[in-house]
Amino acid sequence: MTEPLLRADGLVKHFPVLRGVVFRRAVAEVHAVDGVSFEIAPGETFGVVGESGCGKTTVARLVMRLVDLDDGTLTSDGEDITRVRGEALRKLRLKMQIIFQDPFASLNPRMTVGDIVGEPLHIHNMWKDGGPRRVRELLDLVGLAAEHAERYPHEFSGGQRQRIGIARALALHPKLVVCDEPVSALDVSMRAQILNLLKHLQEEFGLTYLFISHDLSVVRQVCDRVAVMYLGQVVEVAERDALFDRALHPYTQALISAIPIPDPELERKRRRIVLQGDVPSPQDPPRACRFHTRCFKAQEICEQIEPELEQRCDDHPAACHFAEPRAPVVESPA
Amino acid sequence: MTDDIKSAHHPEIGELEIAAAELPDDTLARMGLDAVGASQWRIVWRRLLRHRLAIASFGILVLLGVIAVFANVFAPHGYATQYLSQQLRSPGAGHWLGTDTLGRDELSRLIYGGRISLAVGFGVALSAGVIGTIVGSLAGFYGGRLDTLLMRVTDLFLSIPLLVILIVAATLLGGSVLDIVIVLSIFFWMPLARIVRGSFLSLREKEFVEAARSVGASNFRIIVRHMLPNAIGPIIVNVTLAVAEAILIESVLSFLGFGIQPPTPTWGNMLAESRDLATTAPWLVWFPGLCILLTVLCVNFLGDGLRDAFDPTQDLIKR
Repeated sequence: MTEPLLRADGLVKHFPVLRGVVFRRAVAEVHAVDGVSFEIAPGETFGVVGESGCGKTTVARLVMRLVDLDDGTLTSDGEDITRVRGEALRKLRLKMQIIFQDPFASLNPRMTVGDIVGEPLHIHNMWKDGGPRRVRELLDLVGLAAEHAERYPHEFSGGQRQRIGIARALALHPKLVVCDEPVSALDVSMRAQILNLLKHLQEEFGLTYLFISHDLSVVRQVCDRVAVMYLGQVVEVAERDALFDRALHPYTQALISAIPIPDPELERKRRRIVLQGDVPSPQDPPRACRFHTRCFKAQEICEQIEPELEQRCDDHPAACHFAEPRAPVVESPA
Repeated sequence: MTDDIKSAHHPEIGELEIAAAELPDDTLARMGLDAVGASQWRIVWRRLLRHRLAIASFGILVLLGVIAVFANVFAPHGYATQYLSQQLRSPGAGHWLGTDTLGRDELSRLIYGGRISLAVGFGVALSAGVIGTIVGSLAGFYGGRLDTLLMRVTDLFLSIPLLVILIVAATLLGGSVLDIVIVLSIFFWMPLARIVRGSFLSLREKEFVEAARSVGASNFRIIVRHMLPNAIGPIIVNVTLAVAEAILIESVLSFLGFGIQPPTPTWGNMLAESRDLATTAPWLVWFPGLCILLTVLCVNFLGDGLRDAFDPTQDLIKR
């Protein structure tokens, strides 16, 4: 692998649970992200999947330096960005941008679309150098018309708003774009359009995506490599096809077995793995392997020794003592 | 792909295009991108113009202000001139609004009184508005210890009885309009500070604030460009209410011996002096009361219009 564009090493973020009105004290900690490591190569789309509350979005906010890390390091282009502040952090914004999940909340309702898309240019003193033209160009790029610049966000549909968010993220010519569930708030009909737009922009500008989603079908469509998260930890990382065809971790296998198959014949034959119980509270995650409380393969060792995220077969790390491929979800008709 | 987007237009956008078609040609021409930013205030102004009641109120307030400033031109008599043979005349020729117990012309006194009342009303509302907004913004935006500190200071000010301070101030300060504005401002900013803090606490968690941060916006920019515009509604309502309150409190000040002393008239002290005459000479109660009422109503309507004009989600065609 070439020099990664972004390397995350052992990211940790715990949020305190506060009690009391006058004397606020931390009574517990939510282990939102607990030792997450990954590398993103230039030009690839790196997916992060997991159910709600597994820490995906916190990873996105950590990478964007919107919240401070408790532990771990972030390296971008060989430069340590874990603790950069002030001017250096502002410079970092030129390289990394984010597209938010909720297109209704991520645009300031009091600003015109032109002001929203042009704001990054104002902040980085790029406005005088053809700012209005750049705004027009960006709107055109994401499939909106230049006249839309004078309108307000509430005049647009969800899909169009997400396009505005994308235009804002692209204004500074970033290398890495963090996509935090960019399509999960959209109608299915809009999803494909936005995903195609993202793909098109990636080809045109050589963008690298950190693509966060809970939707395996979306991840399968857009990602080159995928990390699966469970309760604040990465349990498996693999190339897209390797993950979907030969998942090693029982949690990943359970997730994949739950993807509906459009063909009703095959759908009927689908062999689902149904996990028991709920996700344990991230305030008090299970000891050792965090998945052992729900795992269909759990043995005594899983409650005592935490499995390392280590290579199982060629470049396919999984954190499980009993990692091995499962028989296909549907028997091939042969 | 562009075709897909056009077909995905919301119905509202179609309606807005119709609304835009009613605008004069030059406005449409100016709606091009070259006007981004500078046009923001023009948009607010244009929206305010559509709010008839607000514009009428604005006109009345300007008129009241002009009359007060040029009181010596407009007033038919001096505010302290006594016509000893014409005490307690009811409204009629010669003295259009009647005279008071000392035979002074009521109309002239109202005109001169407007100077102080309007200056105190608007001065206190604006300066208390600025203090309250700044304190509330800082507390709500930064949170933590600064928030605790500022909010305890706010509580402290709320807990001091106004009258005690006024009596102390009366002995320490003179009674100029500026003194009154300063003393009253110190006691008018707390409710607004709490309101602004509250809306900032909720705005702070909004995704668009995080989005602004992720494109590199400074704290100052986030407060001024992203959070304040979204908190403008409650601020305007609170400031407009403060205008009325300040005009009335000013009369209490005079009563306590601080502030404007007789014979200089203010609407507040004219109202206070005429309390006992409400049955014998009711016009002495009516007219200062009506002046205060008119001012307060106009300020409230104007505030309403401003709030709507600042809110782009409001219906454009509001009358």
